[in-house]
Amino acid sequence: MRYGMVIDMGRCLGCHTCEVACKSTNNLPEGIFWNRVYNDGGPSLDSPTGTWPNNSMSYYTMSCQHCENPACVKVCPVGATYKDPETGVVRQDYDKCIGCRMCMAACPYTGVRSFNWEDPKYVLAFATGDAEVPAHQKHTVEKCTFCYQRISKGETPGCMVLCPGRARYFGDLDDPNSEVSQLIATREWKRLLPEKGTNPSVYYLV
Amino acid sequence: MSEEKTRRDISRRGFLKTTAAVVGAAAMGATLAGCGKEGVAASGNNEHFVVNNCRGNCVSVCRLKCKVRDGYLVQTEMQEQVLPAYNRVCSKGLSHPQRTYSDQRVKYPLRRVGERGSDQWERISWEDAISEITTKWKQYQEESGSPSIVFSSATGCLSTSPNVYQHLQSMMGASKTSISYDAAGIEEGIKVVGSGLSMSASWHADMHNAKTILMPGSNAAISMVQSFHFALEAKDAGATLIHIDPNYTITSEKCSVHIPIVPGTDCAMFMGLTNYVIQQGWADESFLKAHTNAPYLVNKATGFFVRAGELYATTEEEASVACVWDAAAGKAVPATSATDTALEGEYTIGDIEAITAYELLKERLSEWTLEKTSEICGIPVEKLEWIADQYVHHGPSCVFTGYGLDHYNGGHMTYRAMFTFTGVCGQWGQSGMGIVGASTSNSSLSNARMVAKDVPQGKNLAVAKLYEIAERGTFNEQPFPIRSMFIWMHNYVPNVADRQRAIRFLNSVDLVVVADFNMCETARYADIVLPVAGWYEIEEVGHGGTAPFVNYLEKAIDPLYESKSDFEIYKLLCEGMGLGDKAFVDLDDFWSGYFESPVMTGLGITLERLKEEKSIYLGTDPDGFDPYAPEGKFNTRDGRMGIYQEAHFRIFGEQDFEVVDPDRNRLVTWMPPNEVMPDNPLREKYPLVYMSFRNRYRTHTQFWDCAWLKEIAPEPTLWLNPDDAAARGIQGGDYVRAYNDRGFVVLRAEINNGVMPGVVVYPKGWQEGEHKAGHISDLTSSYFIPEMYNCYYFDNLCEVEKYQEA
Repeated sequence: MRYGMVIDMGRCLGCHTCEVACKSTNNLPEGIFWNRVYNDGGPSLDSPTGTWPNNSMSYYTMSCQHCENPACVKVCPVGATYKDPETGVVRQDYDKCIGCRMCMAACPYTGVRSFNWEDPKYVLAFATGDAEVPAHQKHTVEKCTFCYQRISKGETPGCMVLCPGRARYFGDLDDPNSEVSQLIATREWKRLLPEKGTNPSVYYLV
Repeated sequence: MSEEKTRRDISRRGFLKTTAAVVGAAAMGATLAGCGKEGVAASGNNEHFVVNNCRGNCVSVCRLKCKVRDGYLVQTEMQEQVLPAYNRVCSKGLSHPQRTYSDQRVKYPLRRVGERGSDQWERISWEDAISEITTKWKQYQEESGSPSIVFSSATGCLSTSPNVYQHLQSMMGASKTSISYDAAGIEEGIKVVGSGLSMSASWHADMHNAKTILMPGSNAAISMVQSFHFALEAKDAGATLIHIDPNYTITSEKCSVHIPIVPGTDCAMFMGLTNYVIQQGWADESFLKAHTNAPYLVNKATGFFVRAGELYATTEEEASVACVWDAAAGKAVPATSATDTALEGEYTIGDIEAITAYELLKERLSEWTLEKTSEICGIPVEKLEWIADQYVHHGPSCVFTGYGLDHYNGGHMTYRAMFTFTGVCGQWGQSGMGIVGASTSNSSLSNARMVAKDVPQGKNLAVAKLYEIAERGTFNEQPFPIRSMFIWMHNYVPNVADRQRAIRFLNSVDLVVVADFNMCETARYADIVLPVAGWYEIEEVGHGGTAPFVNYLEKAIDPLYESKSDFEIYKLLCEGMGLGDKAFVDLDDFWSGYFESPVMTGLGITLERLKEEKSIYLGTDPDGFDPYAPEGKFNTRDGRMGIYQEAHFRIFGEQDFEVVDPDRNRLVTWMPPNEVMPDNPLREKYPLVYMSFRNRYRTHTQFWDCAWLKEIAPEPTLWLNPDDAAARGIQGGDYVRAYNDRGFVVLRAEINNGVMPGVVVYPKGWQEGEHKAGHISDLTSSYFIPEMYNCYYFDNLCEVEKYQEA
């Protein structure tokens, strides 16, 4: 089993639904997002490129790429970040993490990893989302887990439950009949920063 | 540093910029509370789910799976719809836990202690609150008459039970308000094509079968995000999506073509297109003859239709039927019995000189050459020709639009022009045709039991008129004091045009009562605030908005604090007014009226069946392809599209003193916007058009109290074209002051390459206290043309300068 994502940039509307779904499902603290919307080119989040009216614009979302050759795993001095052989998920053990942030420096996908400088803060007095989400800890790095608490039960990751644009797909890249494998086989795609050699598991349909 | 990025090389700087924007959010959270509460570790075992809905006035009405753990609503996620094509949820619908437990919830009844709007309150008991309200209402009834008490709701909650206050209002003989929000589009839709509330027409899934989709004045990829995928699926199947908008947005990007237009000139565009179609011989004459009132004979002297009863003795039923000329019979006959209808011609019938409405339409349109049209709307002639050709020859064709066109004076005529154009093209009645609007037919429910039959009813006042009625003290030239406002599911102050005038209006009212579940801006201007239970704290029946279902909603948690459901509050107020024995006995009693409506009985839907099945589809096609006006049968009195409107009448608010020229509104007429036309001399002082986009992180002003959304969008912004910004020495990130004679607002500037030069755009929905200074709604004008009571939000000019802090 090698989980991966396919994101159809032709369908992404930049609506932030998946961003908030992740936030809610994983009870993310204030200031922390594991999945973010990006604008490919414009000077602000919702600006196209070009000179009016000859414009174009494109959104994409980015979270941990769960690379096959992860730069973060190589540099972690204590083995807190590791690739799970069963699922391909790059996981983070908060208890082992010493907060050195070498993984954040090594990872070329700046922004997918977040660091809790202070005690995690929340507006609500209780945890939202899934009960099995490990508690967030001060002085640890955290990031997308492919909602490990869900996929280990055969359920759908939070960000994959419903994309209004119908842009998001999740599944087993090792299964040639899975939806993600079919899309990669039949549609044009790109990956982010392929020259870095990380071999990411997230494919963007172009 | 170059902003250009190739698709394969996303630089680090781009990431960091976004990260910084998010990190800064915590500092801006003026309404965030309790930063510092630690997340409580969840026990995990004590969880259950209920199914409920979101109900905001985006009208998407997403079905939600509500997770309750240890008695808390901990998550709201997408719940499958009966037709999975309508599965939907958004960033707001996902944020209900934050909204439910926000520190902005109204916890108990409040009475104002400081000046209105000073946000100083004392806690009072329910008993005292109800007693004070009803004692004062009875006093006002004595002194000024029942109509001096005005019940005002809008669209803040799209489900049934908040409507119950209308029954109390009717029993009291009090007055009510009609919305002046999107009223031009909705009212014209009801009159001309018989669509229901919120431009209900074809069901959104029906776009699937369209081959041309015209999208004028709509940023649907944001404003109708849950339905936009239907348009994209049509595009994947070969449809051409045509976006007509002054600005270039993500909607433009996803459409096949973006055509810029001068703001507020879409009516001229449609008139030119219609004239071109007619001149080219492309008009669908058989559709016009059979399904519109274009062939109706108009009495030239009066402007009214020639009716059967005027011509010969007939049954009462047939006497009121309008006549057409039957060419084979060589005479005028009731339209219902014609076999060879003439679409054109002038006819003498006894001493009546008659002409078909279609001849009058052609005459009205004849000056609208494409050259003239192009000069006004800015679209090149070749492109206008192309649009017309697409719509006529590459169908099925439909229009997918919301209310952008509504927001300029004359907007009602823009919708008339749109209906006329699509009618002349004959693109109605089959799958993939018609209008796909901001709601769907059948989805607003009606309850005939809400009207008290033996009580003289109060007035129906357009919201846009409230301030002027109070200022004059008269309505329809009779004294009309407004002593009390009862406001619920209606955030009037920040949403109405000319906000400062609205505040002065409320300050002139003796008693303002607001029933709401959070301290929205309007609640801050009340004398008494009543805490309403949240959406997930009650059982409820609701319709699905653009998701064509009726739903039974399960309660997730008990009402928080001392909040009560709208139904409970209604019962208390009825008791206080001595109307307890006339009130609905319980919710089932209240709901029963909804299931007596033709829509429900026609589909065999009962309350019992709904409680059992939870969600029932309001149609028959298993794929959800249900075009509006199937086979050309419109939901109008005569079953036809009403291109010609004999008499001007009002739906959203009773007629006041204004005199309306009947002839100007019979057929489509170009009524230019009041302020924003390019030749307005006011542009010397205020050269920029001031308009809004729908805010991704709000539903109008709703969800203002959700911390997650404020982390993404911490403060209000103003989007400027780079040239307009550079000319004013403004850079992205600067604070800027937008102003005109009515007011000002200070916002953080964002440079946006897609904004049309000469236009500034603000994502709307911000409230008092969230702007650096001023308020976005202080610049909008309360002016409306006599034809149509409405708030014309985009019909405003302003200037913008860099903000100098005092």
